[in-house]
Amino acid sequence: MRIQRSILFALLGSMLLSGSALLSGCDSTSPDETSPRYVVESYLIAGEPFRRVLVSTTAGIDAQYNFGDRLVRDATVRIDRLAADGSTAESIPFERLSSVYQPVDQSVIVQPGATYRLVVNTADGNVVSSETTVPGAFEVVSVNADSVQYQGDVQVAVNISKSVYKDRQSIFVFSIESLDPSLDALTPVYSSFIESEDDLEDVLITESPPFNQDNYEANSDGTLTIKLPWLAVAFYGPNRIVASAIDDNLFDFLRSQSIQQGGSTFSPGEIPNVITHVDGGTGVFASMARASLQTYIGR
Amino acid sequence: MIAGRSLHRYVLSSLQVVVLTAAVFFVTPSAPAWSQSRASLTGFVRDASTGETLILANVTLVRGEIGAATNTTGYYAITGIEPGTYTVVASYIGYSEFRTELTLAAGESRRLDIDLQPAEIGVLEVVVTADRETEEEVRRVGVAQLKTDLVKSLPAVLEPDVFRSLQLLPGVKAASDYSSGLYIRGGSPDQTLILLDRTTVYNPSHFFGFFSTFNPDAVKDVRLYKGGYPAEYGGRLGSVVDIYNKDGNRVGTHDTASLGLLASRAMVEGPYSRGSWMFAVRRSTLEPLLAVLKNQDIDGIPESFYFYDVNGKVNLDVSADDKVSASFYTGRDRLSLPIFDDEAGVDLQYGNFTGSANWTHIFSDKLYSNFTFTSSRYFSTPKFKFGGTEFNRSNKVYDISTKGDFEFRPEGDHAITGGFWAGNFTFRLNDTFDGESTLSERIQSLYASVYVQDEYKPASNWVLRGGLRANYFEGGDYIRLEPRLSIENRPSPQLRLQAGYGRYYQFLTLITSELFSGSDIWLTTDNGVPPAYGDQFVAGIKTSPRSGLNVDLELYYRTMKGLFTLDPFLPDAAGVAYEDLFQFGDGYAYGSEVLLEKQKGKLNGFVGYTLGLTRRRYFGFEGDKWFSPKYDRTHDLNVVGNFDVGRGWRFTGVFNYATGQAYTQPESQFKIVDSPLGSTVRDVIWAPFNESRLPAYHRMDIGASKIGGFLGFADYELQLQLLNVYSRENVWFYFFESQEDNSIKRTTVPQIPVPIPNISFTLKF
Repeated sequence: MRIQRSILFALLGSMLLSGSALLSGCDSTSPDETSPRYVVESYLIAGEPFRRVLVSTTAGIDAQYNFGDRLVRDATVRIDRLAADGSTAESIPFERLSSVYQPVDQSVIVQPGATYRLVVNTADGNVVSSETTVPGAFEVVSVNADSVQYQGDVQVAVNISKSVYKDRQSIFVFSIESLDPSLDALTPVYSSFIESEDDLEDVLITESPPFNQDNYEANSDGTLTIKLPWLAVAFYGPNRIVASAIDDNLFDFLRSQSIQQGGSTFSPGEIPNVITHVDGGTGVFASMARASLQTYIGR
Repeated sequence: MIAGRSLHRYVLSSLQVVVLTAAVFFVTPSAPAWSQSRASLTGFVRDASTGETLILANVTLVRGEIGAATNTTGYYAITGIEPGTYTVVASYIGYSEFRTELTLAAGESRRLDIDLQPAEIGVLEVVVTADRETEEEVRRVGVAQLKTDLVKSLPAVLEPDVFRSLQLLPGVKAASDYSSGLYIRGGSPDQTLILLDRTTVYNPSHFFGFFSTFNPDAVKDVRLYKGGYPAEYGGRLGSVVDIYNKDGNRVGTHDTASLGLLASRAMVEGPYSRGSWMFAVRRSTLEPLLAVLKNQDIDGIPESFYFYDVNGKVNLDVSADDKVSASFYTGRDRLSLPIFDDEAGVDLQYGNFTGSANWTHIFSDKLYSNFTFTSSRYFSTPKFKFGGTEFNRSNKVYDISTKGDFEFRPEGDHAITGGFWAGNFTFRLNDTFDGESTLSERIQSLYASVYVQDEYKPASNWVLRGGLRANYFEGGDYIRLEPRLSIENRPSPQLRLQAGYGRYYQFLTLITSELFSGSDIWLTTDNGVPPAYGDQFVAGIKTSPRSGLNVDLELYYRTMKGLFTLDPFLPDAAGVAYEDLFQFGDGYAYGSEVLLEKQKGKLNGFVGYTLGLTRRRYFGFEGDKWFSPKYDRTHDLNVVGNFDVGRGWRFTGVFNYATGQAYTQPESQFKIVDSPLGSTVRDVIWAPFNESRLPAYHRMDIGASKIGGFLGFADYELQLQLLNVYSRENVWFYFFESQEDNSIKRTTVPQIPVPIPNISFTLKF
């Protein structure tokens, strides 16, 4: 009996020790602040004029999110082009116009390969900033056919020149926009789940996930051949195909935002945060180079 | 990537480990002079009714207080016995004790093969561990043994399952009701080495993870090393599940057939002139149900949905000291699901094949050896089709190896074991998109390991075990040493105090999804991707207040360094350098486990409780912060009870309680509305990663079984089971989705939400 009692005491003591160790053990997971944060959104496109800048705030998860209500209208916005040493080579001021911020001089063009910094000064003294380096411009060199039959033997194949981006291969996103959308023009797989005109907007532009340049055939003349997969074609008729070479900021945002609703190797219920490169807030300040062409998808 | 190297290098590395192992034995001190006056006792312990060898049976000499447990081939060896007359006692839970007297002369080597008679039919005993005072192996710290009788008796979702039974043990957790994956002491499933007849199994699941591939009809023994495992095993950071299939009945031919709701099983086994054989097959039987649903024009019914597995084994007794066996397992899962009138669809197939050839040779009463040739193959070939575009993946793993194990028992206080394991691991991954190859990866790596360990008993109540394992992995040219050490003191026959330490390395990582395990990918170390490693510290207090009753406590602390896993944010691997495919991180886990086990009597069972914690962090992910993985549970309680009513009736109940799993509760939101890429508004959630907890998990399952004679020519067992008796709606996860009114809706995805009945009928001929 004495042995049994000592055993039980030993067990109890050990349990208490291990339990207290668990309770007092270092655990560096701690909640972050949850107050509203500033959200910036703007995209620079190589060789095109500067686009607008949107400044807004986050909302609580239980709130109804109305974008118009979240817009910040009293900020000061500018975009600086940076020199190689990080100093400001050129400053592009923005002005508020109907709740968004537009460049004062709309003739200024985004330079391929240049690095830009977005700076947003808010009325309450916060500074939100982000930098992007614009991918090198590229163009459509040739296309194999102006018109192809849907799921026929010939797919649309586009030759593009290479885009250059810092020290990595180019990463592309492809968008296919119908230029004459209607319910009757839906391809079979899309017509299986698009039932009304109201839903057409959901597939008006189909967008691919980011694809690495190495997926595509590199030709001896330095061009890349990109084939249009049939799954991207939602409508018969005229379509515009846009290839966009994206910067790190947009790549990180797209690849992290796309798995917030599941996928990848996360367990169900685990939601990773988006990867942004915004100091003092969140959002997207990104750049890209793009080229486009029109094609016709016959039935 | 490591290209295929020439065969001679493989042969060379194999030879090197053999030579090293041999050297270990050459340098072993020779027996002292007095050894010539000592005797030895060796032999096999078998089930008298079937001839099956019994693993971890115990053989003891009562006068002299020495003994040994049988190894994985049922062999035991007791050396250094002083001449004299002894009572030999052999025991194994569920069997009547064997006793005989014998007299050993000086220098005599006596061979004594023992047949144990099974205890009264219908009394279910041996739940988790064995209980004899000198049950060495199974009472070691971190070790548990699971009998297949228990696996078959527990209430199960549609099909009895080895892994789901293991999940009831303290320290072992399940990810969900839908997953048979083993999360042991804070480790993920890939940190557990799974062996079937000494062969590594790379994806042991059916129905995309719902239950494991091991057919309980074919399985003889399941041994789990939860942590601090010995030097004879390696290659995983956490634990080992060592499963052996039955050898086959050596007494007579017997058949077993079971009809279940989901699957049916059949097993036949028998003797032949020089050995035994066993053949078991299991297949899902969903087709009639699918046909009925199809005829009712219900959408989403698969065109094909099945699994099967086949196990076989044959044994040949070449001589009293030479036994050979060959075994195989093959299994496959298939799901074919057309969508949108065949405009889209999925076709998933995956499966395993393992084969092994085994030669046991007894050199002498002091030197036992076992050599195995293993082959393991895993494949998955998921195919997806959408609007005329196909995405196909072909993923294959091949592992061919040889291994040898030696047990050397010089007379005295030492028992030395050693061995080698060398093989060739090949992984192939080919993706095609729209008819064109987008990824073609081939990883081939030789691996080799050699180990030696010594068990030293300086006094009758002290046991010291030291071991060293050396590993070589060609992928990256890594050589790593793993020391292992454990110590045990027995202040009294009822009490064991144990402690242990081990260093472990892992050269592989598993890329999987808890939602779907049918396309698991294994990746290896290479240049820039060093092996993960960890230290384990374990301590235990094992008590047996009275016969058939065990009260055990184990404490553990383990680290996980250099974890490497596929970067979850990587959308496209084309052209990405191998080391850039990965995310690197660390982890740790600690906790305590209590097991209260009653092994005998009409009412038997166990209560297991775990108080534990595990954390991970990955560099560059969520600010390098530590987080709780989903399988982290603070409290985990399992209660398993069997009640033998008599007249062939037995009732079984299982109750689980666990702290709710970690999940991510969104706290704020914003929208991206101005993308020039497309028209889609992107909803973005901000959330502290895995800092919230789901409601606590609890569930009760019950079952009843009746055993009896069937029309005079067979025995039957009827099982009636009900899972989730009180309709507990445990939460699997929450899904957050933006609504048209710009609100975020939380949808609860439940685990098994309703009571699920199960019925099976088994005939034994």
